[in-house]
Amino acid sequence: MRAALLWSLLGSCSLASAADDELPGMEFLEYLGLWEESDEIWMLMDEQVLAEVVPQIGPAPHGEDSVEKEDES
Amino acid sequence: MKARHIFVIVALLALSTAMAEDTGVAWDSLSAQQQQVLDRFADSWDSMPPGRQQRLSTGAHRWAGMTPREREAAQTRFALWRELPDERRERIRERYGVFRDLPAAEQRRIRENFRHFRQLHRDRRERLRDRYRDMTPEQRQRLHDRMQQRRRISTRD
Repeated sequence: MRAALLWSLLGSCSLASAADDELPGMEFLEYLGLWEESDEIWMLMDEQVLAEVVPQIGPAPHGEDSVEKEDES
Repeated sequence: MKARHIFVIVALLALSTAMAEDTGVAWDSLSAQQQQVLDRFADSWDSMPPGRQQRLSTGAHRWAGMTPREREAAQTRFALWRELPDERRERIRERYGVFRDLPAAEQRRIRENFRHFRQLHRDRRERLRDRYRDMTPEQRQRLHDRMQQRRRISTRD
């Protein structure tokens, strides 16, 4: 009886511990809260300049980077 | 005139951010899900700066609404975010502040351009990145001027 009680206590402790482990840390939650939408948005902001430039230039013919051609003109 | 316009936008952004950060979030105003995620911080909640309370409450809300796969992807992005130099992170946050202030149509256009860019082959993206980084400020300005011009023309059409 005592052993069963001990095992059930240990079991509930490990379950609680596993649940705690799954909860995100403060730094991560703050990071998620930095953005009004998905945190993926920061990647867009990081690449924004290039993403703005590329469609204006259009697809590069024969695998060439037309950015260079634009720049050299 | 253009510089003045940008200054006003930046000033308004700074003001709105400061105002938002001034307002803390009461623990009792959090949803049950948010409280569950933030349970470990309940005791110290009232002593936290308002800005942190805001970010944590938003973050907890977002986390609670994510699927396991989304959580995993967000954690991967977070790992990348942490590796960025402080200056780059600051630049991204500044751009994000300006982006949020853009009209919805402009935001949509930028997102579409971004999708287009992401679809390019990885090697090509890298080459474009390198090329852009190597440009002088004058070359970048010329390129941006051309973009603005083309955008104006396409808007007129």
